[in-house]
Amino acid sequence: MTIMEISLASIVALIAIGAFLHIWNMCHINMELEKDRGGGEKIEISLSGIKKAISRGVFIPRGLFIPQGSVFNGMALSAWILAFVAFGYLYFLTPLVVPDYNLFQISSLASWSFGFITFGLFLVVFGVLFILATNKLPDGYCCIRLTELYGYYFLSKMHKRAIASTIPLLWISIFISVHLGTIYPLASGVLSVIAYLLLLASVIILISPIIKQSMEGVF
Amino acid sequence: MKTLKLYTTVFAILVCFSLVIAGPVYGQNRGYSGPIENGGSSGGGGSKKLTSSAFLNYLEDWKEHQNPNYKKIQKLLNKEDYTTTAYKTPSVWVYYDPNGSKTVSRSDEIEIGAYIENTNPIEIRRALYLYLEEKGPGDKDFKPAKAERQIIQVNEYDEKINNTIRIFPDISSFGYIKGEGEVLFRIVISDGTKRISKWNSSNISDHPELGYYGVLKLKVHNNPPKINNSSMSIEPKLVKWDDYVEYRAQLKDEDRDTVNVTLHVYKNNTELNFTKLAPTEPDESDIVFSTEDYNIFVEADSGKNFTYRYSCDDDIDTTWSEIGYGPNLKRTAEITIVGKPKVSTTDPKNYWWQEYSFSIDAKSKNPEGGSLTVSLYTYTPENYGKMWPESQTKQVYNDNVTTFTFEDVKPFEALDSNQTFYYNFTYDMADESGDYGTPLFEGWKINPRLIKYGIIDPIMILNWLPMLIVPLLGGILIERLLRKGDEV
Repeated sequence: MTIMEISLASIVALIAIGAFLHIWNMCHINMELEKDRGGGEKIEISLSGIKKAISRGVFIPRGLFIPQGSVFNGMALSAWILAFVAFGYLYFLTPLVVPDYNLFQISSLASWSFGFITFGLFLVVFGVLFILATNKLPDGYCCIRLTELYGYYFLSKMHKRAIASTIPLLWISIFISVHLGTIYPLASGVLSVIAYLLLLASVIILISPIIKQSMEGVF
Repeated sequence: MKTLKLYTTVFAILVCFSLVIAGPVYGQNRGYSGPIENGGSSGGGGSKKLTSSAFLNYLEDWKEHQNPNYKKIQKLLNKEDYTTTAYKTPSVWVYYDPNGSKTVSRSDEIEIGAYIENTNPIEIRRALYLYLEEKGPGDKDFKPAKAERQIIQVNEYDEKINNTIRIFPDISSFGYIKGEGEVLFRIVISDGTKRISKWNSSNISDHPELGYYGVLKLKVHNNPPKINNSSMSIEPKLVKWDDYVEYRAQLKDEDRDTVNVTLHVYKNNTELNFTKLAPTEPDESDIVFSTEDYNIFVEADSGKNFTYRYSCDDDIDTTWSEIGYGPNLKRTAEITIVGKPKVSTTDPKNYWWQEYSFSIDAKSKNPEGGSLTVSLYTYTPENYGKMWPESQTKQVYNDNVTTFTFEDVKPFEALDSNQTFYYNFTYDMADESGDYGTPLFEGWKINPRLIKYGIIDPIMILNWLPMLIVPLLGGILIERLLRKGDEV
């Protein structure tokens, strides 16, 4: 595997871990609530318990939802969409990492002057639709809605600033990826690594509230 | 006294010597005197030698004159027939493998022999002379087969069951038979006794389960020669009328006959035939007819398409191949391409997005000239045979070179980068080669760079700048729609 392939795998793995820990956290909260009430069906904090929770829904009382403010929520959603665009531009613009699935496989689009923005808009539309689709999940799965993701976590101001700061980081990552696309088939290893690190840092920041709470829950 | 005694002794020796010398002469004269005692012609003289012809004359004379000694001489010279009443006639059959098929092709390997049972004790056996006879398709009578006589000596039998098998090695297949049908074999036998006139195996009963036959009947069929249809080819297929054309095919004849192969060329309603003898080989033989050897086409045939087929004849069967197509004769030249086509570009970096210029020079071969339409094609691995949409039509003359230029052509795409491109022109009149287009000409390698614009090029800024803003707007729009940040 090349460095870029490893980096691709690391980003995918990081997002998967974040999703897993988020569900874990929700299951943990559910269990604590049931314990306080002294009844109801408990959900085990185990792989099988999480699987069961996903299949039946993790009922988190809406009372636990903490609105984080429209500005922050809008920025957080924008950051996730930007992260998705940065991810697409870094790995699926040129044939360097995924030779069979990239923009340059569509000859007419790659040859067009506005091929890059077309590709980017496609990614944005896909990201927006995905977020909206998760919002349609039933209440049992409300904690999986990306629009409400941070509403189940306590976020400090520092956290919010950090999440907001991912936007310029992701802008730089996208800018570098576009530049790498314009010079292809030439390549710049340094720029590729920088774009990757910026994307990686952004994703870590975006899932950091989840990681923090799961660590607090465990320890 | 002594002298007298010596003379007496010498005389006695001389007398004795004379007697010794004279004795045989006398006896010899006596030996010859018998036969001529009635003839008297030799005069009883002793020096004439008896020859066989003279002796024969004597015998005839004695027989005629009933000489009493003639009977004695006859008795003396006669040798009794040494066969006895105990001698039994040996039984002879034609032998053929009982497991072998009696329907064979002319090329099948066969083995024909003689099976002999001879119960006579070895002391009275006689050598047997075996002659194989056959009656082929169309023959009225048996005739000697092309097989050497076989001799079975008295000691060549199995000691216990007194039989033997002898193969006729010269008959190994029926390739020598020029026909199909029933072939009969029998064996003519001789043991020197002359007791049986035309002694042969015809009347003896068959034992097919053992492979013994009085008359062996085999059904022989011919393997006709065949042209392998898939091997039929014409090289080249598209030619000028006076170019050399080779018709090629492969012939197979399992019987390995010499075959008459005829090429039939069909020109409209006429047929031209060309025949050659082809000795066949174990596998397949190459058959080649070339216009180098045969005059098949004339100038008037230009622009026409032809068909052909082969027939094969081995003097027994005739087979025909499938119809083959070709050659296609090119039309007579109408234009001349002058020089080589050219391609150029303003930027030597040769990016795929550059504009290229292609040109070709032509003039008419017809004094009156004509209207010529030229099209341009480019070739890359990703876009093979891409036609530039705008063809050019111009009037060409026989004394003026007309240039067809395709300017500002952008034939390539991003995927063509880092590939070598080729190009050619097609036209609606035949050139001097009888073709309607040039061969492919190699251009050069297209620059590997894929994206035309740099990162700070205005076009590229229009590509990436919105991508920094649009996702922000997307997030804000979702929040404005759903109001999840303010929800209580």
